[in-house]
Amino acid sequence: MRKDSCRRFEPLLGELLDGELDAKTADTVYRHAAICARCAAKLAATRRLVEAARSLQSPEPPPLLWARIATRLADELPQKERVTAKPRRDRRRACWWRPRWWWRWQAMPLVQRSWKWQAKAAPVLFGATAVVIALLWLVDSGQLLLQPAGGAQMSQVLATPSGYAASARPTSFVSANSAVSIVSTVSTISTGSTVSAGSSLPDADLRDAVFSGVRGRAWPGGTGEHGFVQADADFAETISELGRLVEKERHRLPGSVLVEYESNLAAVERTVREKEEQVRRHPEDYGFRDELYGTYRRKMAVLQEVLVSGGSFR
Amino acid sequence: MSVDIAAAMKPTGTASVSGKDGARGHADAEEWRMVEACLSGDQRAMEALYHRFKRRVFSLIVRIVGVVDAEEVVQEAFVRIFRGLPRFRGDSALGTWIYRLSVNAALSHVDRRPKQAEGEEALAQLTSTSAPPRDPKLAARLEEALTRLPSGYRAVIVLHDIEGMSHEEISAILGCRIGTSKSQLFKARARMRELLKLDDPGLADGSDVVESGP
Repeated sequence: MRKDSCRRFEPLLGELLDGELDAKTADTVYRHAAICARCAAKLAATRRLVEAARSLQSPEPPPLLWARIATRLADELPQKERVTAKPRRDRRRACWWRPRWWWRWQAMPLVQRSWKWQAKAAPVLFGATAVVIALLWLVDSGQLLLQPAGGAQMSQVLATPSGYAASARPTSFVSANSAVSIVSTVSTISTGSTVSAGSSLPDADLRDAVFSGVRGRAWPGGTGEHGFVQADADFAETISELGRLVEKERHRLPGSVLVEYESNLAAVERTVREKEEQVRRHPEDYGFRDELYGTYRRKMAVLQEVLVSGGSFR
Repeated sequence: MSVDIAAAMKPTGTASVSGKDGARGHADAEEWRMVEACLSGDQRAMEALYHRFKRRVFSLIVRIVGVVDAEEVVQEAFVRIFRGLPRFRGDSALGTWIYRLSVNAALSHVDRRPKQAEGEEALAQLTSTSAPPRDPKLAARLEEALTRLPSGYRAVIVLHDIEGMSHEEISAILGCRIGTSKSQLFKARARMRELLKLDDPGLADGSDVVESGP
């Protein structure tokens, strides 16, 4: 056997092993290897090599590798990809037209976060928003109070002390009912206790009462206490619910987000304790209470932010 | 010299990866759904994509760059993958596209790395974490010899002989022709035989050609 023929067959030995040759060529190579010890030895050596290579097992990636990749993605993607990615990538990120209450609704465990549910909920939310806007507009223009809704009934509504609670609630709770409560609050503030049907209020007072909050206002007849209890309960329930969600999602949050969250939460909780102390010392000063509720809202914002920016609902 | 020709002739067969994670012609509907979900920012879909391909990507990269740098390169590869998803057109299977980015990340890392670091990595750690192979000694030597191969040869032999991909898939991943993949594999195997001293030393110089009956 000449070396020339070996040179011709050598490249085919590997393909013979891999089963990539047609029957005729394979037979030719086989016949050559059967009479050529050199090629037979190469064939055996290649076979040992390939078998050893095939027997190697895939190593298991480190268990925390995904956490590190997710952290890098969280750090890098927002900066580099928001510009270059298709617009649809940003669909679920927080923005002005998808405010925080929407994310809160998304976080509800019983609500299925699917497009089907969102499609069903969209008209309801739209309708509720339209009603709220219409009511606020009516209040602002004074038309609602001029409606003769029945003197006794209106007096009863306006005498209920739930107005402060409604106005002190977080904005995400503002609904058609609370808008009515705002109306009663405004009326209570402006007139003392009751408003008879057909009476009117100056626009400036109404606007001031609705849009400037409750800071520094004296509340008639001590009606606030009942409302404060309700507002406190609402805030406590919301914060507790958000806290549960954060605890549930905690293991999925990247380390950098957790560190920032812990720091922000500690700061806001310090402020909450200070404000609560101020309210205890000055229970009659509604300005302190308003500040306390503002601090509650900041705490809710911190909890919502970690859920959103932590990647759970992006 | 005694060589079991019949055993040597037996085809080893290429365990083609076409199928779940492998390279097919185009991306299928399930892969598109996964890509869409990732593009919409769905964290769970991104994690699912990672878990689906992590083993093979890690395996590819660890054998091209070595254990020491593997984790860093795998991170880089997956960041490139998620960053590049908007540019995935579905011309090839998702797996092929992911392996292409992974191999490119590994090869560019090897190119950037100082030359003296080549071949100095101890892969014993890698071997110890794997299940015991049929020939543990040869397997350990093979892992070590891989680190001495030029990166191009290394990529081809890892994809073909270790990962079991076909030349069509390798050509799609490396962006070369099928013939190039075959010739690179032939050279890589020859080099590996040399490094492992698998060829019969008595025949290594090629001077002794034995004529034997069929």
